[in-house]
Amino acid sequence: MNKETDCGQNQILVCEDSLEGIFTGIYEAYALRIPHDRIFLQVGHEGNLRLFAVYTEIRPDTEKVQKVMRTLRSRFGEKDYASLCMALTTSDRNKAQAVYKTIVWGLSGRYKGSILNHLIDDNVRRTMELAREAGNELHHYREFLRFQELENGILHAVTAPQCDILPMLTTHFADRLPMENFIIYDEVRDYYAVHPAGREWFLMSGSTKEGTEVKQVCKAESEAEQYYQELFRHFCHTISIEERKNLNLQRNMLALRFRPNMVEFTQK
Amino acid sequence: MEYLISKETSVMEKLGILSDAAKYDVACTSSGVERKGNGRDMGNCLAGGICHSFSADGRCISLLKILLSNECIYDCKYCLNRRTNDVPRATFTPDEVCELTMQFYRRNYIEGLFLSSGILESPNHTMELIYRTLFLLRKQYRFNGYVHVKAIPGADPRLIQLTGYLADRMSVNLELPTAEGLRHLAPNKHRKNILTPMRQIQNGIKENKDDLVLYQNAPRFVGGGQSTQMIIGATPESDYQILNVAESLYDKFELKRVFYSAFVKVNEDKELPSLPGGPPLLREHRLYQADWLLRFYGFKAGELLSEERPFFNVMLDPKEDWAVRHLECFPVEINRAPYEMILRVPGIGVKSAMRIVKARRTGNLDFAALKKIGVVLKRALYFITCNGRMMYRTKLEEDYIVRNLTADIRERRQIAADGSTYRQLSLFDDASFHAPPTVADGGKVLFGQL
Repeated sequence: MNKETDCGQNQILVCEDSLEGIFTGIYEAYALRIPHDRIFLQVGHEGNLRLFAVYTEIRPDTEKVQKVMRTLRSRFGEKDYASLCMALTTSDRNKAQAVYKTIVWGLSGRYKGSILNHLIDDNVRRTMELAREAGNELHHYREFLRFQELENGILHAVTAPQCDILPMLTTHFADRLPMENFIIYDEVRDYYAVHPAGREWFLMSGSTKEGTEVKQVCKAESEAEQYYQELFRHFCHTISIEERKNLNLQRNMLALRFRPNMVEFTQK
Repeated sequence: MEYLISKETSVMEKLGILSDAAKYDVACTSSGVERKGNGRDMGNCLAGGICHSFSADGRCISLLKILLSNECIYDCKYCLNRRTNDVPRATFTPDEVCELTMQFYRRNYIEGLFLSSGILESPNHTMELIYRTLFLLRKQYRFNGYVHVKAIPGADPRLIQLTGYLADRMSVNLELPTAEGLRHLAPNKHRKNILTPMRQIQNGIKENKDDLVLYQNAPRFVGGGQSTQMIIGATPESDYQILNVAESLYDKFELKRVFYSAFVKVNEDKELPSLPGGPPLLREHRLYQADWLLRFYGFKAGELLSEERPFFNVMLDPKEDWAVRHLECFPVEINRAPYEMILRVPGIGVKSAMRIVKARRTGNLDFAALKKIGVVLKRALYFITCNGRMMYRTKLEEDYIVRNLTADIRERRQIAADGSTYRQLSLFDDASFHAPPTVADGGKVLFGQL
């Protein structure tokens, strides 16, 4: 291969927007065996195509995903691996590229401690920022998610997160409420996390037949529900000190976008 | 005199009365304990704590903060529930508290329970009621979430000990920073009575740590540590005195937190100060800033304030104030200075300092890199160098730096009470014309001499 054609052959790997999709993309990038600065990962198709580049569609492959996960875990440790996964849950367009380059840098082995400490590198910094964004959102939903009790005693919550954090969120609540039946719904991506009491939880798409059945179940509230909602509203009202009133501070701490699904901010 | 609410009061009314009575307690944190769920009971705890909502005053709602009862035999002058106040009184039954906690918790409204109480009959009786409630909540309702309770000064040490094994955090309110203030405003409370349970809990935690080393499954005693709170601005103590008290509480009593509560005047009493400008919120804010400097930044109370300067600067935060008085320590070289010194630069917090220290291991930092990793340079730029250079041509002079640090505060300074920053000039209300005319002036006008 001479140098001119070399320059022309930028490889662009188009991945599916999921952890599996992007991890398969990263596996394929290594399998190409060309310099990493000529490989670009992107999530889904963009409106503008690049000149002098070869586009390849990547299908998620479980075996390749397993291999990548194993490598990342053993090389970077659980904590950094978790951060990389968190970064991939965001809705950022360039997340795949940032994480891929971070991994390339990390596997080159020119550092001590955590890869995400190397903040001078733009890709590493971007990955750290994305992981932080998703982590913050996850924490906010741990705080601000509200369950409502349905007629049959099942707890039901609706969320609208910007990052795809439903699995992590459900892990938290499964640990907290092991003997409760609960369902958490992600409005944006239309899927459910279902936790049967005392058993393992699972995910379910809202567009399947079972999903529509769940939607039907989640409509009727139990009798006591309104009473406890009213109690909590009353509590939130009396606990605030009039002389210290500061709505700006309240908005700083609790953004308006969370409020539509919170009982203390909705009057029924 | 007070009127008692009949036994049939609804839970709604009781919750209203008893949360209203508890709202001046500050410590609504759920941090300090990491406890995974046990796969059977409801609840777990996160070390960082979780705030579940924020009330209209911007304070977090983390725990179900209630009093068990607002009936009280004491007559503390600053307190809404003092014996001589004519307010509706109510008392929760232990079952009501447990039911509320469980139902709120499973809906993810709260992180746990904060239980305090007025003194019903005697400290012992009150403490016993609190213990019984907690016992019911832990053993019968099998609640595994966070619980914060007050230790009642003057109660039997054994009761406090038993309660400690069920709670995650305990606190004894110091109420007022000095013994003199306490004598003045809370005649039924004594400094010694307050410090005794505090010391007991401290020793209990220490012994429990040894037990845990020996027996892994030993029950935990107050795993989240203990805290306290004091009221700021009800008595004439200086910030220096308050900060010294806080420092000795951290050093000698190993408290996790000291909370400061700006005094809100709820009672009319000749012993209480009048606060025309509302509660002293800025003072409270400065004390919290200083408190953080003590706990995370390695400062000592004596560095921030002294007998000669007993109050905090209104315009500058305590760290800026310290920095402009110690310019001989600056500028700090970001690429070489020790972590402790970077922490002392105004505008750089624990997180930024950690990031700087980690990032400089793999490369040289300049100002652009600092900005990228998220260090805010607005205040720091007067005090740091990167590779021996300052960011701009700035002078290392106290006046110059203070002028620049306070520039945007001065611009925002309000002139009128309604918040406007300018006003229409008028011939008649010029500030220099406020002296009233004297009799002699009147004479001069009459005789045309003016």
